[in-house]
Amino acid sequence: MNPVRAGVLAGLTVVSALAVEFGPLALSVPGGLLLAFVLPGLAINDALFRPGRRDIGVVERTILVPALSLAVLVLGGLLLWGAGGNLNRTSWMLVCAMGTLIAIGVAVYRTHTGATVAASPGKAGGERRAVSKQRLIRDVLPLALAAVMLAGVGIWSFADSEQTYDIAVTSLSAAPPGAVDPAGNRPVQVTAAGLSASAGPYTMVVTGTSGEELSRHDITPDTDGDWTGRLTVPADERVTVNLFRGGETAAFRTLIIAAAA
Amino acid sequence: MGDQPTSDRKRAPEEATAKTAESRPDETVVITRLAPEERDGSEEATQKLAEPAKSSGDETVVIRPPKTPSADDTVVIRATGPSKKRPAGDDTVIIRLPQAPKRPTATGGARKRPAGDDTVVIRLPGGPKPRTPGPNALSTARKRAAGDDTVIIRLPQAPKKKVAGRVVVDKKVAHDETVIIRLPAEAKPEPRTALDFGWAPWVIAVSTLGVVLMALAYAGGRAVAPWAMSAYWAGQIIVFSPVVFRLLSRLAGVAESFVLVMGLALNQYMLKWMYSPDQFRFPDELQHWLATTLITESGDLFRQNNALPPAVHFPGLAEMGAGLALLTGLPVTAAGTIVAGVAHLIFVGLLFATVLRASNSPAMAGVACVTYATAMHYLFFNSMFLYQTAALPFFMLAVWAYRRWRTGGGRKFFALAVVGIAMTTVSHHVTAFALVATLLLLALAELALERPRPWETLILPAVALAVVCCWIGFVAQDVIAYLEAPVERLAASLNQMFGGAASEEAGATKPVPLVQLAVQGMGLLGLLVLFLAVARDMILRKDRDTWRWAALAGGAVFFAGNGARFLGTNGPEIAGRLSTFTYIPMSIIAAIAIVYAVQIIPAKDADGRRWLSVPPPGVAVTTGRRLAGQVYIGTALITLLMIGARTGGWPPVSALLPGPYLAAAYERSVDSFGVDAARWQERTLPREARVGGDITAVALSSTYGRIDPVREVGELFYATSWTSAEDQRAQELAVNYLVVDERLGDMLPSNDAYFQDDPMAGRITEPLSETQLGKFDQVNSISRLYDNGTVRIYQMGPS
Repeated sequence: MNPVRAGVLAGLTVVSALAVEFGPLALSVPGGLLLAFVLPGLAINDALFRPGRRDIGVVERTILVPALSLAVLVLGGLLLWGAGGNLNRTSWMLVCAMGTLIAIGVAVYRTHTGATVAASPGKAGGERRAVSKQRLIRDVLPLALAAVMLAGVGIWSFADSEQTYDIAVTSLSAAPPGAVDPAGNRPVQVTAAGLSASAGPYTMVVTGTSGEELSRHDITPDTDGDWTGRLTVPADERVTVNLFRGGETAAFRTLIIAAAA
Repeated sequence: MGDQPTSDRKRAPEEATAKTAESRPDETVVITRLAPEERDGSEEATQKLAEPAKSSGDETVVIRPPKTPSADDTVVIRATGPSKKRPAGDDTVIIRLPQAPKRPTATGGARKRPAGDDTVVIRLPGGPKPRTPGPNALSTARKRAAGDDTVIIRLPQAPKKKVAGRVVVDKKVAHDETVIIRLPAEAKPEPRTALDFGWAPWVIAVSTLGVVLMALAYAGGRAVAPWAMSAYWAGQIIVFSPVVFRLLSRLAGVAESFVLVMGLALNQYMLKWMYSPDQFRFPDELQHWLATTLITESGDLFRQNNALPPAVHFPGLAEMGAGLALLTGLPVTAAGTIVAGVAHLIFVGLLFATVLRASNSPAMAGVACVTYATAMHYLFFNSMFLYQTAALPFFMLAVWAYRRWRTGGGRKFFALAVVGIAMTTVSHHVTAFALVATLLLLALAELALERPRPWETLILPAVALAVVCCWIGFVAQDVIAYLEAPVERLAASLNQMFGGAASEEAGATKPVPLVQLAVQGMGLLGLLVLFLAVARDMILRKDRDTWRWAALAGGAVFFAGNGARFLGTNGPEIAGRLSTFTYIPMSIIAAIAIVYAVQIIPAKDADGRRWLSVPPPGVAVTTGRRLAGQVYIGTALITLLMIGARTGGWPPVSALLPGPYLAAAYERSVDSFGVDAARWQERTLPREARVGGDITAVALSSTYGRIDPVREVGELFYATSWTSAEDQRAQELAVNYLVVDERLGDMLPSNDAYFQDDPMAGRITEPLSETQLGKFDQVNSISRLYDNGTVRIYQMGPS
């Protein structure tokens, strides 16, 4: 690895680490992706396979980058945890960044100690890398089209799925009843969620074992459509809590609280 | 898949291929093995293509593309005597003819080619025994006069006009052992570079149109549109078949093949993701979502996960997901989706790299990959956010590195293989076992075929075995109990099948639709034909390539594994899961058969033997209409396999499209009502609470709800009234809460059972009744603590 490449790689690693640790989401996402999938593998690749040697092909080199990066993430995490560390954002950032920097160091060291290695034939041959107009049409255009299509249908599909499944659920629930007080009653925390203000008003009616009405409550949901309140019910009765909506006569949601043992 | 250590040492396959055949393998003319001293790097790829033709004798053919092309692009193949030495820098193609024949016809060379037959055969003179030319040997020497040593290669239907890329024979020189092939002067192909993508970008763009169609199909499915299923199948074919077609044309070089394969893998991953892009819905994905979330919340590994206890000790995937989520700040679902996608792409890339390295043929690597893409669980199960998805790329990494190590790559590849073994072991148990078995198979094949026996080949399987045993012995002991149950079920099924034991699962499986069976059967039959053709070819050639034999053995295991389909209710699942591994060698065998056009029905030899006739030497290289025919048939076969995999794999046919709720249908059963109920459990109930319900309820409760699931509650639901028997059963199960989805009373289960370990599995003829579902409201000791109009949660026993 030549010093320029090593410097760029190390610099990118440090910038990514800083973005992960201190940056907003817009920076931490690319920084995190680089640290998780690219930089460690790239550095280890260079440390293992010196540039200019033909012992590994482009395809293999390309695939090894994310594979080795993930190996650093997983095996580094295991080692860190085994050593008593906690796996949080900082520690994982350090695992990836340190792994990358160490590999860069090894690559630079190996380059210095193996200076006799032949130069890359690709470079010696002065291979043309410029993007020609023909190549732009043949390669870049269709791939860009494909990428745009994938991104477009991905976003659209996400929105469609969310729209289809993300429907409002109206629920009535109670936490398991508390302890019985000396008066033979017990508190029950009741919550109604997902209430639509337009479908109201809502009324909650509590009845006893024999069907007699124990209490009645007008429910006014908050701006999120939620309501919560504490009811006191007799411990020795099987209590039914019915939620009525608008002028409906049938209960909209129902809870049943069994008598205490 | 020639086992030639020097090649791997010297150069990468893409370099070799780019310099020799110029990615036009259909114009490559290769007959037999070179003497080692005559090889160099540029010949190696060509030589490897010819590896199946390895035969005795010194009938050597060397083809060297001219370094400085002549004005008319003519390549001269000059036959010389064996004693002649090739001068340095001479670009002449040499055909070494051991002994010039007295009568050329005696060599079997001259034969009238039937019209429309695009096969071209070269028969080298002086062979010990005249043979009848096979239908797909290399080239045809025709119209040879006695004493004329010229061999003419006449490619089919030589056009009057020169067609770009077509090779035509132009000259015949009498009294000279010379073959002249005139390459078209027009449309001179540009020299390929290592990054020549060829038509891949456009093919991928077309394939992406299929993704768009699939997105429409999924949207149609959600809206229950009648056209959605048609769009689904059209989309699947458009995504898949253009790539297959291009790869089968054998015109793609390494870079192009790689882009095609990876583009297809990406597009197919999109198909998986778009099915449920907003959240994980498959139960196993939810289980791993929880495992990952636990790490992000606690910073600890090996935290208890009630949803899937064995996964606790295989934290590879969860670490990847948690690491990415923490590093990027993305939600676990988004991080998991990215991790699964990257892992899937790495796996496909390493499969490509492994086959490319073993065969030195980009066509074969590409065809093997697209064939593997027709595996039952490739599209969904093996690219979901599951621990196997994380293990598979490292499985392939270990195999690839093993190959590189065994072909002289050195210690660094051994080290990479160990990394692959370690990663596989900490990621997934079954994949780790499969890796040990695979490495052992490769080592045994090498030991059996190589002389002197290379005992050091056993080192890596031994290392793999040791690592796996240590991990299970010291860390993941619970996996033994976890795997015991399916093994016992398998044994019981075998006992029923062969031992005559009474079946406990009578009527437990719904009959598979005839069309589905037919498609799958035809695909399997096609694979079997290819497998047998390759096996026959290898046996009669006395092939000694260790990796081909290992692939053949793996292919045999694939067919044996398909037999597991018939072993009870879990048979199809076991067969499908097994095929994840066994389909790899089967894909390689299929690729060998397709790319090398191995004879399916061989021609009769001179002795009138058909099936025992020795295959003609050389690689069958076809051009023109015959090649086109092979491409069409190959594309049709692989597309048929893909359709069979989609109908027999995951998701089941009834849930191929996303859509409204279906009972006990995994992905199709997860909706807002179930999720809201599970979220309530997570907020309200203690972690140690034991909650039972149908398949979906248990999956959601144990993941989003984070409680301890109780799966065997079917009896409590099927009872029409709550008696002391149900009370006792509830106490035995120590179940604290039951989740009741009233939609179980509206529809039959999609998968033959509402519950795990359902006592009525396969015998359910009508939905659960109102009485069965409503009885809990009548029991004095049971409380209804949650109601969202669709899902209710009951507390068992006095509160």
